[in-house]
Amino acid sequence: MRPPVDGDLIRMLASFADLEIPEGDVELVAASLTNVLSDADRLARLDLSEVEPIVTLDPRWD
Amino acid sequence: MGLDDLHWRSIAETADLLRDGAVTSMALTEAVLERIDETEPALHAYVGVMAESARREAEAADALFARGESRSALQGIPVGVKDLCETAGFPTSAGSRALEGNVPTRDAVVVRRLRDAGAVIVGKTVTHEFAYGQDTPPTRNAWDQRCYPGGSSAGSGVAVAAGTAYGAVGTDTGGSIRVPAAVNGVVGIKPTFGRVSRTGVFPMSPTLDTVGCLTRTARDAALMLGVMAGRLDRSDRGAIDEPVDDYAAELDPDLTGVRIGVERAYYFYDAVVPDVRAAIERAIGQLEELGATIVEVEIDDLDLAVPAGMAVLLGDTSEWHQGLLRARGADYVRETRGMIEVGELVLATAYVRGQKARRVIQDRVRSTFEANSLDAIVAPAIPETTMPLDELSVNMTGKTVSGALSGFIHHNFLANVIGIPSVSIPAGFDSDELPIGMQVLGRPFDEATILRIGDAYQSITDWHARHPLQFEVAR
Repeated sequence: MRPPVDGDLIRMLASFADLEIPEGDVELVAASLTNVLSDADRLARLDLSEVEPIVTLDPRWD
Repeated sequence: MGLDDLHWRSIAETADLLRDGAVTSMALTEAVLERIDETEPALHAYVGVMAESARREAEAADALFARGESRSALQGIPVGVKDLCETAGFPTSAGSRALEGNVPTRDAVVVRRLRDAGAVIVGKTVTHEFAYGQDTPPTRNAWDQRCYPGGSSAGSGVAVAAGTAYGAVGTDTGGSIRVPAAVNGVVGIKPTFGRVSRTGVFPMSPTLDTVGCLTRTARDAALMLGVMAGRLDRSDRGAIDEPVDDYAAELDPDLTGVRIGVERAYYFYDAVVPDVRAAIERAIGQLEELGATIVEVEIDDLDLAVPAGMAVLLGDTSEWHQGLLRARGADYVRETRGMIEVGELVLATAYVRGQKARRVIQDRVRSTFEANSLDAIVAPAIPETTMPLDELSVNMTGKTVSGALSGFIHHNFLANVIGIPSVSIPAGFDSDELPIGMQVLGRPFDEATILRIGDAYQSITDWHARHPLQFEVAR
């Protein structure tokens, strides 16, 4: 079970990202990140082991 | 319709008038500039009007007509360009104070193509800040100035609906062309990923962003997209090198042989309001009367398109903003800044998982198209009509669907997540006389078929011929 995303966690993650999040944004960011992570968890129902991610690489030289 | 009502004419009709000498591009441009002056206090569709350069372009177009030369159907036609696209020598701020005073030295490729085709660019249309859809722009819905204008190509949708542009460039990363088209009662096409160059357009995500256009008819969209589409050369890495169809030549009101899928579980769920549901059901019946075969289909895992796309969108957008956020963070709207901050904290594994899930969803849709020999899927463009601005939730990540950006994304993100083309076509009005949009999704690089379906539908309906007539300054 993932611990709740709270203000302290946001501040800690932001410090690792060298990002200064204004105090007024912290609650908004915590709520949004909670939703994003919860949504991303839904992807776990897919078997992605043999799947190539969508990326763009054109190896040709001009 | 007389020449007094020129602003309601389609691009196709106006191109005929220009070619026949019944009107000059200069007269058309002056009329549009005057109409912009009249309507802008109520609508705020434009962030900047390019009157001086527009008059020069109109003069050049008229000179071409005088010599009997025609570069395209857009020659001499006034159009708007979303303020996310660079315009040489004219401010491009992407709707943000963080870019205030930014004057590009080059045109975006799509702007260059329009200019080369003889179009007259009358101004830059309002976008939500960096196209994120989180702020409240000054733009007001063309049909009710108390209401949400759609986004992020808000100004483009309103300008076309209000007759202050015959067409307008928009960009679409999760519905930003189709949503303003739907809520303002105009046509908006998000082409296949890579169909139109993104070079010179402020990015959100390199694998989700598309550039397209908004017009009043599907035929006009065919004409405008035909000018915008294609890759200039190998240095233009913002586009994919695929042949461009003659979209207008392929329009045909007879849909015999066209197979259209309807996916009810994902697109006709509880949050789709009765007026919208009824309008789209009626439209499906009309498409059948036009000769199309309607096929009920079920596609697994469509509900994963939003989480997959969102993990990618957040990471991509925040990576681009890293430097600007640290230098000018205080100049961002708080809600936009919040989303960009969130994107910096999303796990890299979630990002890669999102990119893998997109491949799975692409396979699901492709196999459904192939198994049923489908040419398109039809759905509501959004689950409802527009709403008063104070009733809109800009929460993209929440569970709320009704009255929220997340509901619009539910209907629209799939086309971006797997890169297929999609167009919103006016399909009626609700009981409050607000426009309803029908979405038609197609096979990759088959814009011709979805425009054909839209044009055929417009050949037997008149929703696109109804216009907002009164504009009041909202309190």
